[in-house]
Amino acid sequence: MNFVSDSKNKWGRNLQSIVPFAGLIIIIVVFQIITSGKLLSIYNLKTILEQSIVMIISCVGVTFVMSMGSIDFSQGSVLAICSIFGALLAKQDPILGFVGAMVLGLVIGTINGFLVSLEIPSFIVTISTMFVFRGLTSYLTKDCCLTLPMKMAVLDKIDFKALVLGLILILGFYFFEFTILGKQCKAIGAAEKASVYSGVNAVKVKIISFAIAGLLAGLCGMLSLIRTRIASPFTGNLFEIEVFMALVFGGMPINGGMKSKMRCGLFGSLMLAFLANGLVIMGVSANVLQLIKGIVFLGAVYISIERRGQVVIK
Amino acid sequence: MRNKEIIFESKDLCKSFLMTKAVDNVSIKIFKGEVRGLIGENGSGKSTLASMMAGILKPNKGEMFFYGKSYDPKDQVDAAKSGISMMVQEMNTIEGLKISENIFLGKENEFVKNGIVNRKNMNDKAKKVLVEFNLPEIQPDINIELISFENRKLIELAKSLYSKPKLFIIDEATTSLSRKGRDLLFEMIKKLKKQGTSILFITHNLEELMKICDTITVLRDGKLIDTVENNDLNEDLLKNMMVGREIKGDYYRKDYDTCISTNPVLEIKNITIPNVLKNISFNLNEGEILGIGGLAESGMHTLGKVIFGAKKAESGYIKDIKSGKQIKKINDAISNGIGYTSKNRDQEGIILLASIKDNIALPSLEKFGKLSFVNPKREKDFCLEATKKLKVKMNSIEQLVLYLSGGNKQKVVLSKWISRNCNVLILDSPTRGIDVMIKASIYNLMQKLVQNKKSIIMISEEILELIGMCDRVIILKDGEISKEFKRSKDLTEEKLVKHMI
Repeated sequence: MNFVSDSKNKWGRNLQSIVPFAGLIIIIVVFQIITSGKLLSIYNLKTILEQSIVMIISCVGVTFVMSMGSIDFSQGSVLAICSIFGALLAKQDPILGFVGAMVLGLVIGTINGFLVSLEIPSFIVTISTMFVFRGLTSYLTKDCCLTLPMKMAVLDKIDFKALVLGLILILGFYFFEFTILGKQCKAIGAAEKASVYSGVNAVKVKIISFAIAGLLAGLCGMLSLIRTRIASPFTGNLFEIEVFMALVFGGMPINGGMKSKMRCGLFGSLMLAFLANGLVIMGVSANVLQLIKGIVFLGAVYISIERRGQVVIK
Repeated sequence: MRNKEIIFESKDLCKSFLMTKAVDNVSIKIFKGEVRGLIGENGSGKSTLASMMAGILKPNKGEMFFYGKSYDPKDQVDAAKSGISMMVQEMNTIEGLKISENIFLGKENEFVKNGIVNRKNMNDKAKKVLVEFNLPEIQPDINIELISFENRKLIELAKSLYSKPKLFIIDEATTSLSRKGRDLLFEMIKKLKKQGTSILFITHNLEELMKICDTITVLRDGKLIDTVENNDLNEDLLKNMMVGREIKGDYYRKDYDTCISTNPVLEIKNITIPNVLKNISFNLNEGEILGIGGLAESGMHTLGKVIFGAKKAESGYIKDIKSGKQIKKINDAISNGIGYTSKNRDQEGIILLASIKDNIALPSLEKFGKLSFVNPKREKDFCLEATKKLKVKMNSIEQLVLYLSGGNKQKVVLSKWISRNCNVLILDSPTRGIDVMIKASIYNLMQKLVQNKKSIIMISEEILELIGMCDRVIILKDGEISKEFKRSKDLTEEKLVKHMI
């Protein structure tokens, strides 16, 4: 007979649903006070949005992956390689650049998904992919960084980016919460074997989820290229870790399952962005910022992790 | 019996989980050398009470006494040291460790000299223990995952008894054992009783209970109803106490000469899996309850999986007659109107960490909207309807299945398939570990289904169930069909068992 242990983790479970809302509000209020109102100035809010767009879009894709109990460590590298590919194609035609970058991302994601469906743990598959494309990126940009064609610089406007973000969020939310795909992803995360016995085609779902993550990483690659104007060996470095942190902050269960929600990525990314921004306004250096992010992340994981079961990355 | 020494006593013991009062002011006395049975419906508080006695849970109120002294164990290890240990239904041995290491887990100090464990001594002692438990053919220095599920359970028994507990609790541990295992367990219980050990035996199996227990305590809704001597008992009286109202004695089918159509709906032909199944061929007819019986290792559970498309056979095929299509994977089966309830309910039948609604909706998601859209209202209405049909006892449809009793979990599994109007149901051990009331309702449901021209394959290790419910029973032995029986009043357990072993 299974018992719900009357463990201290009752707090953790409730916290998981409150953290996204309360956490964001607390961070905004605290830093607004500390920075004497600079945090919520229009200019600063624009900056925060700019900084978090790419992270939020990547979170949308990774939400599908994480809800199955898997993980995607290749987001940063795929972003980088798609940046390069997109930059090359954009020389011919800007739209081709976008399409090309997303198609490449889709292809890499599909390969990830296919390998995971062969029962290879996702962290092994995606770390391998990460290394391959990080290496390729460094090689291709070692002599000179690739640059964005000048005519595309006009896209570096908040309106365009906000539009793209809005579109992706709406589509992501719809597909994850209201379609068969999303429900099957969550079921696999909750119990893969039982889901398969209920007719879920785990192979198909895994491939599609990783493909979506790859596609969106490709889109992020182009957006990043537009913002920074170049693709360098450092593009997207450690990005996947930040995406993971953002999702967990936002309340995403580490093992996925039924409690996964699309809003986790949005709230987590905003929290991280406000936190980092606030600290920078306060004059904190980049290294200390990294340290603080890490500590806060550990704290969030400690409170909310489901310790009764083991953390198994599938 | 009344003059015997009281070894365990509880006074007004209470335990609640959130809103539910699992154990409600239970005062129980257990005597030395007594075999006490503990029964009650699912949710009556049996396992909760036992867990408090074994140190797994802490009571909210009340006191416990062991040998007259106040008893408040910190945890299971503490309880075991005091002399109370428990064996549970789930697997409690550790894979990757050798058998001898599992038996002496936590007690390795006995074999330690100068900081090093003497493996030879440990293995020798393990060998003696294995012989004592009638398992002489097992080598103690192999990894435990290499032996059968049943033998692992028996090793667990050896481990629990090695520390010579004064009160030994068995919590529904017999459901996964075969006949041989159960007989061994009962032998052990008799031996322990002679040595003065007391046993608390929790099970749903009333026949077993009445065979070996001296006295039986009945719980209902967390309260202790009564403790009765075995001589004063009969099955109907017990059922009455468990449920609080009249239960008719026999809950199996009453009809005997029902004509079964000879329209086959499913064709199973030459199914072979090396070392597991050999050339299994038979047809499932429309409106029939076909039973498949045998020992646990006879291959029947695997056969159930093959018919559902969950396991692949080396040769042979399963064909759905109406569509003419072969069943090669699970989705083939489901799209042809076949449903399956696994023996392994918690791993394969149901998603514990999901709501009742999500579980029932999962195989039917395409019904709730066009183009893979899932309309939340349609989904909810569909699932509510399904739970009403089977009378699932729940707080709300969003409740996690984890919190339901075994019987209600099984009802959710069945709802999943019945809501799809499946034509064929493969039920593997459908009433395993389920209380009397829900068992009766499942049998009732099966009869209603076949009256509506649905067909059922029932795989079960409970011979009485097969005799009571099926139109035909196929017995498997060592992977082959050994005999087929037709429903008849003269069918007895002995007749079937003869062809199983």
